[in-house]
This record gives sequence, structure tokens and C-alpha cells, in this order.
Amino acid sequence: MNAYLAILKRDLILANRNRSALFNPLLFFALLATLFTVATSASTEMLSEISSGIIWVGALLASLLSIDNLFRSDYEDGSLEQWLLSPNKPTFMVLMKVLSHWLVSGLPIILITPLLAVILHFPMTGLNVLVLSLLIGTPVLSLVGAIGLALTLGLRKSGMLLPLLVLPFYIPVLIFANNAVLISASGGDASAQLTMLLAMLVLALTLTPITVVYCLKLSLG
Amino acid sequence: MTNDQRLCLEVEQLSCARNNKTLFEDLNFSLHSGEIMIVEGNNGSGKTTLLKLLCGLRSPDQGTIKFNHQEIDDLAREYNDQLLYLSHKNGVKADLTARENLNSFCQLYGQPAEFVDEVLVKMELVNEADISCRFLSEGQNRRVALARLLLSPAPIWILDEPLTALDEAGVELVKKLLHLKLQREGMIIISSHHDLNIDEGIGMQRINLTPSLLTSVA
Amino acid sequence: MLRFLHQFASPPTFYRRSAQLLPWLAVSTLLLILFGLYQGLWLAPPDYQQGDSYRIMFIHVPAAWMSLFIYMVMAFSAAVVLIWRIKLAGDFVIASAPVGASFTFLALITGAIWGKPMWGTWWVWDARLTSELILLFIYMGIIALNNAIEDKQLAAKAVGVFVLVGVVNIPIIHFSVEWWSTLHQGPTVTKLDGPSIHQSMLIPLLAMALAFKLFYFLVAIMRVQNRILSDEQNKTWLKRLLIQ
Repeated sequence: MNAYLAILKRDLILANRNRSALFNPLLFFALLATLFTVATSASTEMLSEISSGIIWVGALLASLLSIDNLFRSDYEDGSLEQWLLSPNKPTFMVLMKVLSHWLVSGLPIILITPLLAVILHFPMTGLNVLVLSLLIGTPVLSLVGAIGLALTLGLRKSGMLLPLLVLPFYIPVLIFANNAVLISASGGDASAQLTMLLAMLVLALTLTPITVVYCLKLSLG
Repeated sequence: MTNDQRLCLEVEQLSCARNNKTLFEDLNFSLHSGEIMIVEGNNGSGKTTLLKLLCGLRSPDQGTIKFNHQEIDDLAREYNDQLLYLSHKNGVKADLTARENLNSFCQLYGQPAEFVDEVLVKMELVNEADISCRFLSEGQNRRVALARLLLSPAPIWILDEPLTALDEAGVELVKKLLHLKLQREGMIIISSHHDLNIDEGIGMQRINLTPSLLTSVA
Repeated sequence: MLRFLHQFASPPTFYRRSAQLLPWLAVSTLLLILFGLYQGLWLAPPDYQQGDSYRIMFIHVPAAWMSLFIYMVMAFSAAVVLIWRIKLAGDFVIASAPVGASFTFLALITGAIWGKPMWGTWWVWDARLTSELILLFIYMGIIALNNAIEDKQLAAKAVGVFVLVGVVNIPIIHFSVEWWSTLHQGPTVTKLDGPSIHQSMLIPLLAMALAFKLFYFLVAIMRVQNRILSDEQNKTWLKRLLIQ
């Protein structure tokens, strides 16, 4: 079997064997929505207005919290250097790792978004664009997060460093995604914003893998 | 690659510092097919760093490493094809069984999985083949890691303390594999505390990185 | 030309040449600042709209320009470190980061001070201030990353990569924040660029901008010198120099 598919399959099998960990991002996502609701006046109109922001920030934070799973276990058991040094394109290996991570951590969040949308009184006319913005935007978050993780992988007390490094770069995604949703929720056409998101995804897909490989070597060397 | 084509690894004026302290400066040596280089030195003297430099995992501060007269930085993936690196860590996924780990090694190297059963026998892991590696001992996990030696087609082995955690039988097995590799014109760079009992007549070099003892003896 | 620049890659040469340069830099910086402040605070006429409170622009606008200028210099130096492996360039990146952060902070503070009489509040989420704030976070990330890595060489490379990742993202961030703020444009028109530039206001503005640039190079070079002193303490060239 092709080595790239093999690493994808291996990661999915590993995730399956640790199934309880799969629910953590989901629970966090749902908890966050609850926290926001409880902490604010939670009138239906107000919730309705900020619901897309809550959902997007929730997805963003859940993605950030789970990014460690991308390389941490491979780094600690020595698999990372093995697949980096294997006779395969390291950039493709990174893409496969990010894909498997997104399938396990990002996709489930997108799947329960409609549920959260209902709870938060999200104007349902915007649901399609909300889900679409998450589908395009969360991979960008994973890719950019991968760079941050690769840079801080070897550090012992990295703590808040990774979020500090990565969050500023999440902001454009957040801006365009949220705006797309708001426009669509009020009946407008969000194609321009979605196109911007798509452009960001393409940029991330082209530039991130090689950067991640370089940073991984810095952490491993 | 035919048996006539000799591989050659050349290190010129290699210098490296770690944590703001110089480990070694102006290191020179060359290694050919069928030869073994033993890296010695105290803890922290830079053995692992040197091995990582030779893998291309780390860039030297100064100097060059050439494989067949081309710099390994330029060769990139082509060089990766030529080498197998084993570090202190096993590179074994704890949630997979031994057999699954070996299968995944084969897939990484683009090798058919038909020899996995044979390798399990050779590494004495047959009874433990389908148990999650989480439940295997350190020595058994080490054997899973060392199975790579039998599965990878790479001619160059770069091994960092491969004999740790192994029992006597395991140590003998690995020594045998090392000899076999050298007989088949492979190249080995290894750091090890153990005495490897290398035969006379096999090209062997030693390098000791302890600062006061930094010597290279052919 | 390249050979002229390349000689600065060696610490001894850099140290000697910069030591010669520094007094000139210091004097010109001081003179320009005095000139700029005199022109801006005294000679330039009050704005017909904002009265005298606009004068803070002479610090705010150059500071904002500096926050981006310094980042561009850092990005260039980062490229030099990663491609040509010149250690001094890495030192320059790390020396520049706090200066850049300070100018960004200055821009934010002066923006807030300017804002109070203009909009009645200390802060407004307009495009310029929001972009500056995000830039400040990026600078702080750079400083934090550098402090987190013990090995100085590794830190220089890691910071270099991060700076370059930032250089790609900063235009995107700036663009998206600009665009976002146009959607939320309240009734107050936030024109932090100040009144339409008249020549008597342009001169002090440019003088301050140039003064800040010289100040930056002055401080950055001094910091790099310090770094050379600490990194090369065991080298003979330094011992000889200090004995003289």
C-alpha cells in the first residue's frame, strides 16, 4: 500500500483504539457554547446575533487544544523521525498527518455544528454557509497550527506559547468566515468571502508543509 | 545498485555546537561500503548529535557531509532512501501490535509485507506478535524496533545505542546482523558501549568525542 | 557591493565598524528628534478641525510606520540567516524584536491618547489600531519563542522561520482587518492619519520618521554589540580589543 495512505490509515486505526479521546474536542466545543450562553444575558435575539461567532471561536479553540495530538505522540515514541527519514516525500507525509488529524478532530466538530446552531438560536438560513466556512476554514487552522506545534515540539514548558504564536494568524480566517456566515444569515451572497477562505486554504496547503518539515527538523535535531 | 558500486560517505571539517557549547570542531573522516564506524564518548559528548548530523536531521554549523561525492543537503530524499536510522527511542506505536508495527514499517519503506512472519521469528516475537506493544517489555519493544534492520533495504545503518534494553540473546542477534550487513557491503555508523567483536579484516574506524580524547583511528 | 556587505558578517568587523558608526547615529538621531519636535509641537499651525490635540500624530504615525518597517528589516535578516547562515543576521532579528514591539506599543498608546479627545473613548476597534494590536501580539510571540529556546542558534533559526511565516500573514491580516472594520464603521470617522497634510506638517512628520529609523538602528546595533560581547567572550579578537 502506498506509504502516504498507510500513514493515514495507521493514524485512523490508532485514533479508533483511543476512542474516548475523540470526544474531548466535541465536549469542549459544546461546553464552550454553554459557557458563553451562561455568561451573557442569553436573550434569544442577542444569542442569535453572536451565535455564529460563538460557534466559530469554539471550533477554533477546540482545534487549537487538540493540535498537540498531531505530532506529540510520534515525537515521544520516536516515530516522527522515522517517517520523516523514510524514503517518502516528507511534505506529503505532513499533509497526510494533518488530514488524519483533521478527520479525527475537525470533522466531528463540523458534524455537531447544526446541533449547536439550534441550541444557540442561530438563524438557520445561514447554516449551509456556516458549515461550508468550517469545512474550508478548519483545515487552514490545522495547517497553521501544525507550524506552531512543529516549532514548539521540543520545548519543555511551552504552555501558552503555542496559542500565542498561532492565534494572530487565525484572525483572518475568523474574520472572513464569520462575515460570510453573517451575510448569508441575513439573506445575502457570501461567495466573495468564501472565495477568500478558499484562497487561504490553497495558500496554506502550498506553503505550510515545507515549513512544517523544516520546523520539525529544528525540533528533532 | 550492484556489488561493484562502492558507497562512500565523506565528512569534512564538521563542526557542531549544542546549547551554546561546542561539541566538536573540524571532524574529518570517510567511510566506505563494508566498513563500520564506532562512535564513542562520554554522555553528552555529542554522539547522538553526530549521528543526527549524518542522517540529515540536523544541519552542521560548519563543514560538509557528502554521500558519493554529493552533499546530503542537495540529495535530500535520495539520501533518505539510502539510510536507516535507529535512535534511543523505538519508533514503535504502543497501541499497535508487533505485527502491525512491522507491517507499517514495510509500508513506510515500500517493501512487500511477505517477510513479516519470518522477521517475527528471527526477532523471537512470534508469541507476542498480536499483543499490543503497550503490554510488551522494554526489551521486546526494542526487538520490534530492531526488526527494521531486517525489513529495510537501506545500505547505510546509523544506529544510536541499539543494544540497550536487550538481553544476551538479543545482543548476540544484533551483533550477527551487524556482521552480515558488513559482509553484504553495507555501511554502519554506530554508537555503543558494548564490545561489538568486529572481525579482523573488516574496515573499522573509531571516533571518540570526549573533548580530551578527540581522535580518529582508522 | 555584496562583498562590502559580506564583511559585516564577521563579528570583529561588525563590532569595529559599528563602534565607529554609533556616535554619528546617536548625534543625528538626537538632532532630528529635536528638529522634528520643534517643528511639530511649536512651529506647525494648529489643525482647523482638531486644534492642538492632533500633534500627537507626530509620534503616533511614525511609530506605526516603524512597527512595520522594523518587521520588514527583521524579515529580511531572517531570510539571510536561513539561507546564508550568517549568525549576525540572526542576532539582528532578535535584537530588533523588542524595539519593534516597543514602537508598536507606542503607536497603540499614542493612538489611544489621540483618540480620547477625538472620539471620547480610550479605544476604538478601527482598522489601524486593531492591526497594530495584532502586530504587537506577533512581536510578543517572537520574543517569547526566543526566550523559550535555550540553544541560541536553534532559537535564531526558529525565530527566523516564525518571522517569515508572519511576513506572509501580516498583509493578509492587515487586509482582512481593514475590510472587517469597513463593515463596522460607526458614525465617527476615525481618521488616524490626521488632517490633510500640509507642508508645514509634512516636514516634522518625515523628520520624526527618519529620527525613529535612526534610533532603531542605533539601539539595534548596540544590542547586537552586546550579544557579540557575550557570545564571543572567549575569542582572542575580543580579548585583544578589550585590552586596548
